[in-house]
Amino acid sequence: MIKYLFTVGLIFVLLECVQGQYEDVRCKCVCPSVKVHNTTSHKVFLKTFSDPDLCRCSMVVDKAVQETEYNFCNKCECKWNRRNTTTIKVVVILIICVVSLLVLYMLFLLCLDPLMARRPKTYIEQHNEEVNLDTQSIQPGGMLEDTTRPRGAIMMRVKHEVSRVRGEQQKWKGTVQEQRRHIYDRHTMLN
Amino acid sequence: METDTLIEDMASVQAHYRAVSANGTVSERSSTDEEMLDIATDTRFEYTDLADKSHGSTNLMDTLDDLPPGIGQYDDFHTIDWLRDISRDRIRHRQISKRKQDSCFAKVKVAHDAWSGWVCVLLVGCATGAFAAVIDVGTSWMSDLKEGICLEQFWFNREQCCWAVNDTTFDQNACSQWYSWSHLFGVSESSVFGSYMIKYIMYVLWAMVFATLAVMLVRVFAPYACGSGIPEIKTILSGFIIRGYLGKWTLIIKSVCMMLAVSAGLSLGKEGPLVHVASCCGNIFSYLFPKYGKNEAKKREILSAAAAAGVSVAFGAPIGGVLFSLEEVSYYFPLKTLWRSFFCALAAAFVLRSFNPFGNDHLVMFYVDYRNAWYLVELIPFIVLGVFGGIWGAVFIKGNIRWCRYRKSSNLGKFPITEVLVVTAVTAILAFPNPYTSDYQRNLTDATTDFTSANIDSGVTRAMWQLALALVFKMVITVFTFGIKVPAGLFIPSMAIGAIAGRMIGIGMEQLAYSHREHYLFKEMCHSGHTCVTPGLYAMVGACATLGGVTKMTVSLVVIMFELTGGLQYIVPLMAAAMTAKWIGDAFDKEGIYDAHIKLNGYPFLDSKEEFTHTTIAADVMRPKRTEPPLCVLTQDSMTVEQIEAIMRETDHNGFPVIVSAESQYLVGFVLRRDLSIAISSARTNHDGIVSNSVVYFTNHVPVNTVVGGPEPLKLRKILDMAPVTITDQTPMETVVEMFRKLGLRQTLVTHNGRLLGIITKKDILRHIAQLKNQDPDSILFN
Repeated sequence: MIKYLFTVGLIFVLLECVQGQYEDVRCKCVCPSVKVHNTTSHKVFLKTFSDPDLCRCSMVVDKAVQETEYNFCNKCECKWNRRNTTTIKVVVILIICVVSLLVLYMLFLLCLDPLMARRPKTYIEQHNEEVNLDTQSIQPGGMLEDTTRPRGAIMMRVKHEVSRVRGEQQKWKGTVQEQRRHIYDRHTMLN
Repeated sequence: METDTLIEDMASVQAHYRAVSANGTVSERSSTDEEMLDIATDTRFEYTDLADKSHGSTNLMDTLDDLPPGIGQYDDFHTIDWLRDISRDRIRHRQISKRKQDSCFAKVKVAHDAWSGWVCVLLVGCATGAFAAVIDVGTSWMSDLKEGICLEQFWFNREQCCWAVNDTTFDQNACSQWYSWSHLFGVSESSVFGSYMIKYIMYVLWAMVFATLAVMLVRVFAPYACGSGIPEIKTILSGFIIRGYLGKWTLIIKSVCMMLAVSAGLSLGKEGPLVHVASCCGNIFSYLFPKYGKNEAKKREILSAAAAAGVSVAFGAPIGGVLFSLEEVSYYFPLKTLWRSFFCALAAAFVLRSFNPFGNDHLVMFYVDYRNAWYLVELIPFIVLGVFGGIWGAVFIKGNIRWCRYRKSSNLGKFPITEVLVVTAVTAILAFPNPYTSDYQRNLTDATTDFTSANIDSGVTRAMWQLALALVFKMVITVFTFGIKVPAGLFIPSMAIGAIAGRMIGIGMEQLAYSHREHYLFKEMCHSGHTCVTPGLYAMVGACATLGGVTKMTVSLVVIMFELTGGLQYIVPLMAAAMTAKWIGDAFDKEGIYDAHIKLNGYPFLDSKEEFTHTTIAADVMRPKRTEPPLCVLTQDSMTVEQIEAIMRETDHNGFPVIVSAESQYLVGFVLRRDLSIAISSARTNHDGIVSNSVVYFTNHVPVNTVVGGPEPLKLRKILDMAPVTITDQTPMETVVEMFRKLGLRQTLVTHNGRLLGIITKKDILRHIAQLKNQDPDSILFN
């Protein structure tokens, strides 16, 4: 839940700071090189138009350049493009977030989890700490909803939730283990 | 003798009737009669239907008033029974519409039921479009990360970074805002060697980082996310259960790792995996609608539509996607699904288009726009390209399958991560020096590279060399890449190979036409100031031909290609190339790469394209064979819970035929192992009267006198399939195979003179087909 809120907040922050430096519409004309070289290199002319109808070679390329060669504009190819910088920004940052979250979780599963599994006692202690933090952060909302409920009941419920989540995680791990066995050990699938 | 038993049986039923009328109330009797009618008119019945009707009767009908959850579902790696699922849905639908007049709420319910399929595919389409947009943007950004970074706005790829900068020359495609790694590390562009080396090293390094991330994420979170996914989806759509293959984790990991793998510069594409991603969306959204989520056969309608949406966004070809789903992926494709696929592909393409991920108002990065005409003479090189495509397809399938088989059986399979890293390193090191391989698909089908035909010069010669090297490199590396344990599609590398070959032939043709301008063949082709031949068109045709050779698609491929190019005038060249490629490819081997992979993995896929031409009969295929112990059966009213549990412990059959009695062997129905075990265990926990000695009844009517003193009987009529498909032992296998294909059967029972003789399952048929083809029948792994 907190993760969702964070993501939504992030998106809003990003939406706020849209920058105008990078234009979102352009007219791009690709023309043969003005000077005759040995190789066929091309020249690109750009201009910002909001109206796609204005995207013509005669509007984009300088008059001086146009006159260097007869029928210069006939050889040009003009295209009107539009993009949304905000979308790109949000998407790329989202991807970075997702990849880094996955990598962190992967490192946790690969390095810390086996260590904890070996010493179950410390593991439980650490876990309880996490639970306390969670309850504190959740408490205000919970208290508003149900003020008469004693703290112990909430604790119980949280503990129950946590054990349920642990169970789910264990189940998921078992499933992945099974999939790994199919693919990497027995080679019965996806060869 | 048999008639006697039958009459006796009828008599006992009559007697029981009398007992019921004597003991029970009117409502009980009417419910029983209605029940009988229901059986008579509607051979396939619905569990909830019965539960409703038996409501109120004092446990006369069945021990399990509400069936425990899980009945009607399937285990992992099992084949579904299309007939049973579809009839279940039909009965559910009938029930809902019967109550239509009852209340306003019921009317809303009916309406919801009617439009839920459309809503579901709409959601699937939108989700697929969004995923594709994210993947497209991410891939282009990450790919360019190998070469440099846009310092001021790091989220832009190179093209976006130089979006509004004037004075960019087309060849360099760089600008002052774009910092290459060598520039960033302070190596001046003047020391050519130094900056080149830095660029080279950074390229390889990033490729390795991306590949490592991809393979590790796949291994840790979702092993099912590796590979292309199309063979598995084909198998799933043909009615097979692979739990978790279309799950949430697979969706996330496949999307992320697809970007990483493509960005790593590996010779793979994201089109096949996009179909998998779309199918995952289909599966996840179908759980919002119980009509689809709880019925595997109905769910496959949504998955077919989702596959169409996947191709729709991968190539920006909505109609091509629908045809792809129809031609290549789907197994059961009624018209209703066609329309839904159409709608789903439309929604997906619309959402992707509104994201506009490439900033060019097109759905794909490599959109090409040709206006040049083609001439009849050019059909010859097009057909040559088709031949090339067919031969390459056959070689690729052979080589790739051999390599995959080697990986499966040798020690190589034990080092999947090392393999990916080695392939990535080799690809990156060899690809970087060649401009045609270092960049993702961008150069290959570019329309704008040649405006006028010119004489052969140093530039063209060099380009030809580079193209030739790129072709050989791509051909070799793709064989080794497809099948490594990262998400890997096949479309783009195949198309790239074809495009390179096509461009080479195109340039050759251009030079030929240019140097023989006056020849009568080329006279009309070379107008003044105009190019004689468009090499880009050849690249397109070549791409179509190789893809046709590899996947053995025809119609959908051509439609995809012309949707990609937006030029209807090139249909004939594309058709000619695709058809030639298919003919040539079929001459070597009839199956496409996906079918070959299905066979390699031994998935239970009964191909509806293949013909069965042998003269065997059902008795030859049926189990048990003559040497085997007799068929494991249950009797309808004489076995105890303990006995049934013992049978289930001792055997691993997935279902048991139920017969009248051991003497008569008359067939009553068929019960699935999963349903039986769930029903018995839930009855044991929920009903105190059920003990090991309880007699299990699959009949409607339990003799009342048995209840006195003895243990309570367990009535399991609800889970019994009363209308199993049966054939006689003399039925030719041709017919049987056709029945399995057309009806989507899971098993059929074999009878002789009305008595149960044996059973034929889908697996038996696949084994039989493999045996007739002189292949190892044990290669079919799953049930």
